[in-house]
Amino acid sequence: MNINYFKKTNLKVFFLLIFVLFFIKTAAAVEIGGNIEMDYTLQGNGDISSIWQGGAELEFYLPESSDLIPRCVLKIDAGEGKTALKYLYLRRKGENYRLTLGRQPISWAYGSVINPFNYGFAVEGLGGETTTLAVDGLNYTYLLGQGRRLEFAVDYPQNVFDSARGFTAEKMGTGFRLRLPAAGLDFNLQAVSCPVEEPLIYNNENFGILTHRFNRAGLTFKKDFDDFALYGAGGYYLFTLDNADNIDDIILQLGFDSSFYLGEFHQNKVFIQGEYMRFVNNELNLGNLMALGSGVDSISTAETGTAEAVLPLITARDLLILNLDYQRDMFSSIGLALMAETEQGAAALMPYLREDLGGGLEFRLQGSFLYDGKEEITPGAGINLKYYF
Amino acid sequence: MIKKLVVMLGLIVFMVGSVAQADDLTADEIIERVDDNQFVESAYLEARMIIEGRRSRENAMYVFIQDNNSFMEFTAPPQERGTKYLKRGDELRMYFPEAEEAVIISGHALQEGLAGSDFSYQDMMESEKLTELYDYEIVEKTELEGRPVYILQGLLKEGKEAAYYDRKMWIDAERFTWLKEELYARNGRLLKVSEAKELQEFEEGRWYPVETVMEDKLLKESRTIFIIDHLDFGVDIPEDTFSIDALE
Repeated sequence: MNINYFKKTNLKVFFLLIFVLFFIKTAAAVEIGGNIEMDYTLQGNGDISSIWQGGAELEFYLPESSDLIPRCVLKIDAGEGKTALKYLYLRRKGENYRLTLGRQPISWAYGSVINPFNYGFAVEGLGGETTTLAVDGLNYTYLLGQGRRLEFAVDYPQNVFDSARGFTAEKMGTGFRLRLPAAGLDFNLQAVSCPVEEPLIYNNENFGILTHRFNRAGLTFKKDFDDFALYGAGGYYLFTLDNADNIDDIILQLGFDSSFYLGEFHQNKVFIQGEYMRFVNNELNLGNLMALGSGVDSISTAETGTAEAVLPLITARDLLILNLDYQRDMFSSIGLALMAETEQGAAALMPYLREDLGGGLEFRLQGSFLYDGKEEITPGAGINLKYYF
Repeated sequence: MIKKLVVMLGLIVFMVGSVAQADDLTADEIIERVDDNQFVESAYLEARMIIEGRRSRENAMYVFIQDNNSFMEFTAPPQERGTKYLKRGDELRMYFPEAEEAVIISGHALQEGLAGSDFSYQDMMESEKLTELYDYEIVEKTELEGRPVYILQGLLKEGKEAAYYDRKMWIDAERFTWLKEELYARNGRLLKVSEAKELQEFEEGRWYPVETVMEDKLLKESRTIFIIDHLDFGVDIPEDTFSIDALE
């Protein structure tokens, strides 16, 4: 899945979409909303690196009918001067189906921080932060009633067709999900097959790209017990390599979330979540899952010492995540996120403070302490300001 | 002379009788009349929720209500726009527009405030009539801000579940709508105080609060103002408005 910019074909499609919609409903107004964001991060041990990132998201609230819904969101990276489409899709709503075509979010979250059987790689509510997976593709959902649904997704990256090789289906991703909610229980069966590209480099020469397939199938559940909720996942990973033997593994995940109240009058809410994921055969690791990326929503990458510091964490056979959030009042919370693995003892500790400053302005102060499992700790800190309009 | 005396006596008896009748209303009768006004079988409303604490925030929403179901979508502020809540019976689901995914609100999360307000998810969930949930008794008849009111105390009935164990209500004795409420926990702790700041007559004799202030007594300087800008009772709502599939 590649980063996508304003290439000519996308620009034409974008303006064509706007043009068509204007002809359909010329009298309807288009509202614009979104957010502007600034990040400043310091990281390092000895040699300190600093990164400033700024950007914006613009959502065009386009006219929609009862059965046809368009969505358009632009993402702007001020630092690198790049603009990209975050979402651009048309959704057709039928009586018992939904068909979405274009660049769209796909979220197969089920309540865990990391869903090992999500369509790609996404993080939900880690230290209050969530990433959303966006793909160029088609999503067909058949509604079975009572919230049950069968979902089929196909994504086609930018290079699925080129003049040299023509259409290469091996570069497409596919997946399906069967969702079966019941009273207090959410149950899903999911299977995904995605390409993972590896540049073939030898002696600093690029010999092309290998395309492997990463196949995953499993089930997830979440059960509500009033005072807490229990969730889990289990399934199978199969990595079919272009130039080597296949690798497979079994993945198990178990987690819980709960909330309770502290203070003399029980007025401060505390939310706690914990989950543990393990690659049973130790053949694959979280890094394989992260390599799927977050789809096309990766407009900018930050090169810092962070990648090296977290390497032991993402290449280990297991991962423990703890989320703790303490609500000081309705405008402020402090919290802690912890990620750790048990083999080398590598860990990442991320305390944070979130403040709603009013008037659409939100502030976040975050720290990070990355321990590589040996003796090195890489500290970091960051400030984030976000304005919604 | 005697005729005048008889007429006057008749008038006096009539007036005394009328007053005696009004004062003879039982607690259940009073609450039933309140339920007649307050209980909503179907409605559409547009409203704003102003949250005041150390800072303030205003949420705007529209709501469909029918029987035991309700659907709400936030239209403001920008960070909440598109967030939806669907209540079907005892189950509450929330739709996140960013991920375009709906999740069930876990039981332990129902105590927290809706979008940071002093109205909890559990406040939202209650859809039974007061007479079905509480046993009431009249404490006294007095006045509140110039209006004649009954003060009623209600205790949660055995086997029933509700957000509050004990409710003390100031009921307008002429309009039969609540003007003030104190909400208590089982241990007697005062949790919230709610006041109706403005009432509006929608149908003849049907008064409904269009501006309500809820104060959370467990939090310092915390209150939420709920203002109804538009309200239609008895609307015909399409069945699929409350379907889980329509949420996403």
